[in-house]
Amino acid sequence: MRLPTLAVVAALCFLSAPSGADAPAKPDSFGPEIIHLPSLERRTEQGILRPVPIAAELPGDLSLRARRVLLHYRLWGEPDWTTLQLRSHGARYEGLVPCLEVSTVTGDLRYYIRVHDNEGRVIASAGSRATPYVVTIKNDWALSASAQRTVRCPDPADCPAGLPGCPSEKVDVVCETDKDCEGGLTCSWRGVCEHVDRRRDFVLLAVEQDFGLVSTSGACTIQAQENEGYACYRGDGASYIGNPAPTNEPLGFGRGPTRLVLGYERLVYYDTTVGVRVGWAGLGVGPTLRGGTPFFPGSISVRVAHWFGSDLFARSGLRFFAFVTGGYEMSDIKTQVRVREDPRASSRQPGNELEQQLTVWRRAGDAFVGAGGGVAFAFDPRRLLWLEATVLEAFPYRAIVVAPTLGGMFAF
Amino acid sequence: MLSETRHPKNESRPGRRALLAICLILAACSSEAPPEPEPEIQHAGAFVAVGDSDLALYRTLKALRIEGDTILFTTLYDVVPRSFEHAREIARQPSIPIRQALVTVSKAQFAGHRHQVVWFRTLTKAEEDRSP
Repeated sequence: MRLPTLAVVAALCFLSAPSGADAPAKPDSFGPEIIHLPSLERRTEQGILRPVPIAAELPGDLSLRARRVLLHYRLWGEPDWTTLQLRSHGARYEGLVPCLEVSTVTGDLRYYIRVHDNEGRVIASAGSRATPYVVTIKNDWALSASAQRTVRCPDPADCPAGLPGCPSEKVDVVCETDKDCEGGLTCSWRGVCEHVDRRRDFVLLAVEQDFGLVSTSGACTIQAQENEGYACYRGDGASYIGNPAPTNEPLGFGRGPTRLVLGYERLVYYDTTVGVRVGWAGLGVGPTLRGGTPFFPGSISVRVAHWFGSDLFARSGLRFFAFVTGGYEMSDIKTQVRVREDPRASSRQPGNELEQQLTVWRRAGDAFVGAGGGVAFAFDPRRLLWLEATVLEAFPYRAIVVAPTLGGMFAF
Repeated sequence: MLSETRHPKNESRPGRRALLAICLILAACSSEAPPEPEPEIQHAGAFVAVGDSDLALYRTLKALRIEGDTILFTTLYDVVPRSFEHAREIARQPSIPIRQALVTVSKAQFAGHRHQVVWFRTLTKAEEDRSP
């Protein structure tokens, strides 16, 4: 659809819906229309070093819904399209392809216009990348005699960006979905089109080692072993069923299971991911007392993570993050406890010393909530290696579990 | 109103109140455990070192209260501890040579000499079977 270039020659352009914004407008399309008014003296011609004025007039209904009218143009020899916001004068929108950008290069200047509403949706368009309007830039001597020779550009040194006749300030193209963006651009969470190699979906593989902090006071009573998830063993390997005297013992710290973790993380904003992880405990599982709840090695958790920094997933390098998590898992924490036998009680088990060190297994879980932080290194936006530590509270069989995890994330 | 007039300075001393709060928290966190029970001569499984010069090591198998005294069925070990501490070390060993498997003594006999319960271990079935 070639553009007439005589002054105030109206080209009637039918507008299309956003989904069809890339397609050239057709006269039999439904929808509102705009009047496109190039203010040039000669049709399809323009001299070098002179601005190209562009104007569009919107029909009444469309002008009420229009928020921004954007001119997309590409100069001859330029690989990229440039966007310029037209200024509003009521229903009429005007702008200039700056003369310094027109420069001295001859050839076709291509452009098209898109109208956006308040939410960034494209509600109308005139032309498209595939079928743009064209203005041929020529040297003055090649212009036809009737061509209007307006004043040439001022000295570039005196021409700040954004002023009429000077290089334009690039504007963001607002959008709601990727369909509103062209040329391989995607719609960002900020509602503008951008070209970034940012991956949103990741799978991960990790190894997690649990360590636990458990209460050991009264851990080896029959009551605690039958009902509270404890299991106590003597040095000779026998299960302890003696008469421990009540004592104050410090919290016990010990190792828990080692897990293999698989997960999926989804980038839901520049600095926020949500994820789900499943794990399988292979090592560090304690014994189950007769009649006790068997250990289930599977685990599942969900998490929300915040990544510190600006748009980290668009680039490589070091990054830090913090997260909250919750889910299901059992953790067998192995630690030691001092037990003093009560000599006043009737003996239930032979060979219990007055004082002895017992091995205690605490089966903590089955639910947990926690938080943590870590550091990751992205070799590129698609591959990350990370190390994190989670501190979680297991309940109703309580324990504080610290779980350092080392893993890798891979985008797909 | 009464408390305000009695403790007017407390209102202007947040540091003091904070200290009090910390003390209360610490007090709340440290639970009072009852004193740990000590083994006595009549407890089955108690190791008793007795002697004025040379020590002998006995182990109580069973105790019977008879007419104001306590009869103890004990095992006498074939060891000569140099001190109560040494006797404790010996008692903690899993296997101790026996001089006399069953010796009957009264608690009053032990009381007439220097003695100390040095250790305790619950009896095995074989040890229990030594006593009548």
